[in-house]
Amino acid sequence: MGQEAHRACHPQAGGVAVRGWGLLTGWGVGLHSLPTLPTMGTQGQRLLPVATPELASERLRRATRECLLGVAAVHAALDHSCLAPHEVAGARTALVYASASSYAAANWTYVTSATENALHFPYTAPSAVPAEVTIEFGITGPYLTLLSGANAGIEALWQAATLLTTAQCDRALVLGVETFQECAELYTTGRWLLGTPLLEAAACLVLERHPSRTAVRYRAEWGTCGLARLVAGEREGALASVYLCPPTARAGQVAGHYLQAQWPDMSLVLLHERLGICLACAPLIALMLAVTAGQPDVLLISQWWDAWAMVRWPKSSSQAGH
Amino acid sequence: MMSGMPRQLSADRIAITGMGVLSPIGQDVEAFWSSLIDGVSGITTIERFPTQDLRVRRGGEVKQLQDTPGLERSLPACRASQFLIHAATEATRMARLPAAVAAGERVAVVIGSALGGIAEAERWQAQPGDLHALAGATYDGPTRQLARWLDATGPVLTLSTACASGATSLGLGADLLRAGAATAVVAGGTDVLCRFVMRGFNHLRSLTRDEVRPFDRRRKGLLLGEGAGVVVLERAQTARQRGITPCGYLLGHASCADGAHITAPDPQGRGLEQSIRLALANAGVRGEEIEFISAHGTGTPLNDRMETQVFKNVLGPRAYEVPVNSIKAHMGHTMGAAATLETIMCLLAWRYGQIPPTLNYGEPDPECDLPYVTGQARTYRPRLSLNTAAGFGGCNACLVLAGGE
Repeated sequence: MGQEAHRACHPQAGGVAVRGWGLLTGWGVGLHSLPTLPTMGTQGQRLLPVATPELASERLRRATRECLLGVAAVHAALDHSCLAPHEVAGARTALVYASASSYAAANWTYVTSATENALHFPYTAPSAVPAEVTIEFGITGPYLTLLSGANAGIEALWQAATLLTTAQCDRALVLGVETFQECAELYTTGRWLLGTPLLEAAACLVLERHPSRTAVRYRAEWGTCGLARLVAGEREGALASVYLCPPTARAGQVAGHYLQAQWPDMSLVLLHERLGICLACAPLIALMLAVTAGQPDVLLISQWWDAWAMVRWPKSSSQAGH
Repeated sequence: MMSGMPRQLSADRIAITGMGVLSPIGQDVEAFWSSLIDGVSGITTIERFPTQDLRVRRGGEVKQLQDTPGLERSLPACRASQFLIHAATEATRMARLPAAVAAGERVAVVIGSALGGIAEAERWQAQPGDLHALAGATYDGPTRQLARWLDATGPVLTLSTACASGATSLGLGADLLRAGAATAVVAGGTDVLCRFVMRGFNHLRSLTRDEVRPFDRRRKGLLLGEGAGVVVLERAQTARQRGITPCGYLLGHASCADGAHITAPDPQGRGLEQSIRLALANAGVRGEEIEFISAHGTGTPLNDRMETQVFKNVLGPRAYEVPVNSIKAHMGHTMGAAATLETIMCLLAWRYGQIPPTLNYGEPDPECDLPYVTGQARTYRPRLSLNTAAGFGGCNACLVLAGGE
């Protein structure tokens, strides 16, 4: 039992910092490609597909589109963070993956296909996406896939922060991938569950420990009064903004009205109005926007069915210098 | 050897206050334990869906879901949800959780699964109907059903680390308690047999036509099973205040990546070794204090060899003194449920002072040379146990468990 064991036994107080990110969406590559105004430019499109990245890797020749998107987002995040791929190899980098939809294409194809092959089946596992990332970058640290629908992104941010502050890793990659194109008909028929436009996205944040004393705070509530319980007491302190990430416009309207009534002077960003519906990727993109806008103390809120999730990203957990 | 008190026991203990089982060898904790000790096999010919086109048609199938006292409401149609509710009913009753929910405690639900609700997608595809039913085919469908059934009020999380999911979910539940996000957590794993997964493993040729023989020289592969394992986690202090006697403690946990291959384990077991080392550190327990290992032990040539070597790497010479077993020959590999069921087995081993045997073991393998418990149950009361798990995508997990009240 060395120093590493000692640190893990004794969780350290402190926050986490965003070192950088990578983003590919149906709007383009990078944060600057996102529209600044509510989604006027969609012209009635129900789905904004993301282009499949071209990766020069023979190893990935059989990988699915969602796997390629995951690997490309991590490459972009490392570039933005001024990190070489070899710097995230090994046991001190964690990978926390979040998705609500990315496994659907491979699963649905396998269920409905009369002909099949042995190569397809492993890619039906949601863990195929993070698996390709760990293989590509040689990551052997803490590793988790969260699939709680649209709330998985919030949960991933909290879990990565926990892994960092308990010293189980020195760096955490939080990766989200959402794809809809292959099952577009199913999604657009089930509009009671998911709004439009559906925005395909692959988003990756690079997080590191920060010598601050303020921890990232996570809460989640279930049930009809979940939102009210979730935000009770959160107005205290220097809260700068609330980013709301609902799965439908109607859910966003209801929650938005409630939050505006509670906090009339609060800056409220409705992610779905600005970007479209991108489920577990939405909180990751919201954090990128907040850090870029210099809003270091923000609430990120998401909803999925009866479940509400929230993470408060405190002032001290701002973007780290490269 | 009875160990001293683990360092963490005096500080930040997570108690396991309820356990529930739905398995091919027993549909409650006591029946499950009796079958484990008696060496009962739950492997049979699969009857619930067509298998004529498959190389292997056997598995650990739950033939008929028994009535559970207290299930007055009709169960959801989704089989995975039924399994979860069945096991959770036993676990929450043991922990006297309904009273806690009524008292306004924040109860979370954390479920791991390798397949989620995919069997519902198969059902829908065969007989298309309401799209709402297809929404249950998502990975989080069964978790949501369980949360509704329990009237949960706290976080409701679904995760997948493939066949290690049943261990990772318990770890995540412990994290929720330590973060103050819940006062009790209903955590576990489930998976059901369906054509989807049988076809997949059929194509991978991972299933054996022989018996499952963990650590035996003749081992040729695994068989799949189905089931659910659920435990109730809470802080030891909370349990004490509620007057609940814990079944045991979850002292430490970790889930790590192999970074090696999309299906096969890393031959050197780097991710598994890292998981064990991190879980021990998280628990504040030294390797030499471990008294029993519940191995993943699938019965595949590569897994059992790799796992044996990893135990030697971590425990050193002590590995040759620590009993090791695998219960996958009893009921097949129950995927997302497996590690939770094995956790329950570890705590029962302490309670009853016996370690269930590894079935179908007959010929030693020079590369698997640890003191496996074979033949009959061994009389032994392990206080500190390791429970290891692994799955597709290079997923590995380890739990450090303590028996005791």
